[in-house]
Amino acid sequence: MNQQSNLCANLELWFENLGFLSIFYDISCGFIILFADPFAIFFVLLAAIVGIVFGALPGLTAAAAIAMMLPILIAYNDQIGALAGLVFLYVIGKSGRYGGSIAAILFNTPGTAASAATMQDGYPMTQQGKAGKALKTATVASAYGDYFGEIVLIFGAVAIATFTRKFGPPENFAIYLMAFVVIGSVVSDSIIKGIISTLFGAIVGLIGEDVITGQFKMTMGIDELESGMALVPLLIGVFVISEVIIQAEKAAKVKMIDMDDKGDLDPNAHYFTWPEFKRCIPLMFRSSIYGSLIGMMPGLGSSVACFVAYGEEKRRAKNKKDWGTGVVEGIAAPESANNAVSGPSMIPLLTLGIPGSTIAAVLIGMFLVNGLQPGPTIFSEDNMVQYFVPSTRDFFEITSREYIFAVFAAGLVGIAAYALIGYFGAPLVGRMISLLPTQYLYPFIFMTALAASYSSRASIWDVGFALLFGVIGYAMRRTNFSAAAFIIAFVLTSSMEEAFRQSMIISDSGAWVFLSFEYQGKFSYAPIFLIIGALVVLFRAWSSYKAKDTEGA
Amino acid sequence: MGTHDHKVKVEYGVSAVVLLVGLFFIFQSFTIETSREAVGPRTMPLIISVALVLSGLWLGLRAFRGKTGELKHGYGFLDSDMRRIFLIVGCGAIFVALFWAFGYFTALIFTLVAMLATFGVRNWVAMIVGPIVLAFAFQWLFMGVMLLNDPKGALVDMRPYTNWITGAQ
Repeated sequence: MNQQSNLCANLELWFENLGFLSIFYDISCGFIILFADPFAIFFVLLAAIVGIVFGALPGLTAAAAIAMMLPILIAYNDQIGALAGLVFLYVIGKSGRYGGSIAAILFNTPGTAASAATMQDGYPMTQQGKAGKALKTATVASAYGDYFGEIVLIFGAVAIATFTRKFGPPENFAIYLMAFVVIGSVVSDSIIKGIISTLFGAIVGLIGEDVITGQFKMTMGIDELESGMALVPLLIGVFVISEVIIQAEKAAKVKMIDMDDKGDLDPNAHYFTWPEFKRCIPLMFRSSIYGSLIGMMPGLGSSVACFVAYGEEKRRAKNKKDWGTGVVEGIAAPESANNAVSGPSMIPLLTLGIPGSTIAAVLIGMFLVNGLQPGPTIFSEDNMVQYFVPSTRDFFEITSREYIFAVFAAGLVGIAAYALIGYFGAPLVGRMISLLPTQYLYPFIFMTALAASYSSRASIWDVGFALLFGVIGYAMRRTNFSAAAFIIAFVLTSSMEEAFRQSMIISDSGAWVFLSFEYQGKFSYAPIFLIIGALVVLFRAWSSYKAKDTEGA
Repeated sequence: MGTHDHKVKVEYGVSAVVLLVGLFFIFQSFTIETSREAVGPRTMPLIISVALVLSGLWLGLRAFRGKTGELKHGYGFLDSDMRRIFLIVGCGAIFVALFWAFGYFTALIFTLVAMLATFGVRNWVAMIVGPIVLAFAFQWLFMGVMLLNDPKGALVDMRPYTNWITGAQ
């Protein structure tokens, strides 16, 4: 590791005068740190496989996989090293999004909501005996979009963080409030239900010890609630147990089409050819831009990006009549868009401390365990973090900036890993999943979920809470509420309350501090964020009204 | 009952639940002691609870006007299989109850048997061997390797018979 540190120092001399391009130094350093840790590399590769399999299992998402593995990884954090657990979860988020396309293409069931648009052309291609081509198109487009998004993250996060680092409590509160109303209004089909989901997550997030006075709030006399509701049982409830209930209802049986039925008729049936790839490059580029922009907005996730890209590219296409009958463009557009969301969805977390997605919300726990505080200071070169390398049993001090760039490097390696595994192994994964007996699989997942709930704090109460939120999560799905908004709000609320009360303490004008462009003699961005939030809600309400008006006409 | 009527009825139910949750947390907010700050620990919970009550009223009013908003396919509980839902929740309850009474290992075995039965498995070999293997694996992983607390059952302490799996004394 000392050799790697020297190498980093030498690289610094090369890059120190390159200004903005010094990010290349950071990312090179990230690769050096990553490759110096064999455990981390192993976990990146493992995450690529686990994510693909979980994503491809109908109903289970990367968030569900992460929720079940989080307590185990936290428990083993000292054994596997500081980086391995974090990069494992980070890469699962990416490969899980891609894995959903396998189920969408082969079983006409989206493995994740993010692949719902992929079904429209993916499954018809499977029916035509071109499943191999469809899977390879999805793999290439996903990797393309993911790399695009990761580059946006690397350059965008650093640039935005230098700006947001100056924010004080009023701006932080305004950002949290903006995130609340934006997430609430865009995340669900119904604005009011999205907002209620957010409020519900917020009120549950306030249970427990007060952030300033230390007194216990709304614990209902239950001692276990004094330290608040744990995130893992909540996640397991709303994402895993509610899914097990749905699968029990369906007694799901996925059926796989025989991919070799008709494929032999067309020599190119199993391949994404070079001319097709060239034809798709501009479309994947545009879709990656849509995905990246949508990913940066808190709450808007891959499921929105895939439909936006599909709709927009279909509108632009010359062969729009063929879309929906099995064209490679119909797979490339949504897949590059939904994976391009992955990197930029981390931007709100890393620059503002606001998780833009469920996966980002879960990653907060892993960041904190490793001594990293998500937010703009994560890119500071003054924050030193203890870094443990299990292979040499040595502790080092690195900056949080070096640490986070090692995570980005892991993301880049993880994309390559899942792309290679997916390109050559997706049909095998599909075949394996079609053979998995669901009547054994879901009981096993249920038991793992209960065990993981218990292991988060070694409390039987947490198992009860997971069950309770499993039923609540099921009811939320059935009545159009958003589980994602609920979880993000749950994670955000205590920080929001802290920012609110700190602002009120430093304010001479009460709540006007949030509407004033100046506080403590410096410029405040708080009103700008509140205006943006209000505009998003108004725009969403207007477009919803307009849509109803059009339907009525 | 038509689908629209069902949706309106569900929306009334949803609005009532949101309203009750809001009222419950308003009550809970008043159990928080106030501090000397201008804005104390009670403020935020109270604001959010009141917002929940108002949202619930809004939903109820909307349902009263016969509107249900933009609802996805599969909305409501017409397709729900209540028996299955209760069975899954029941399996969870079995786990909690057996964990309390007999400890972790026993809870794992009997809950998995119940879950397999719920999912329609009738292969008795799988229903006996599967849970025992899983219980051994989980006991070793969570209690032995992760060193989680393995509390004794309130009625019967099974740990003397399972400690050899974890290596505990």
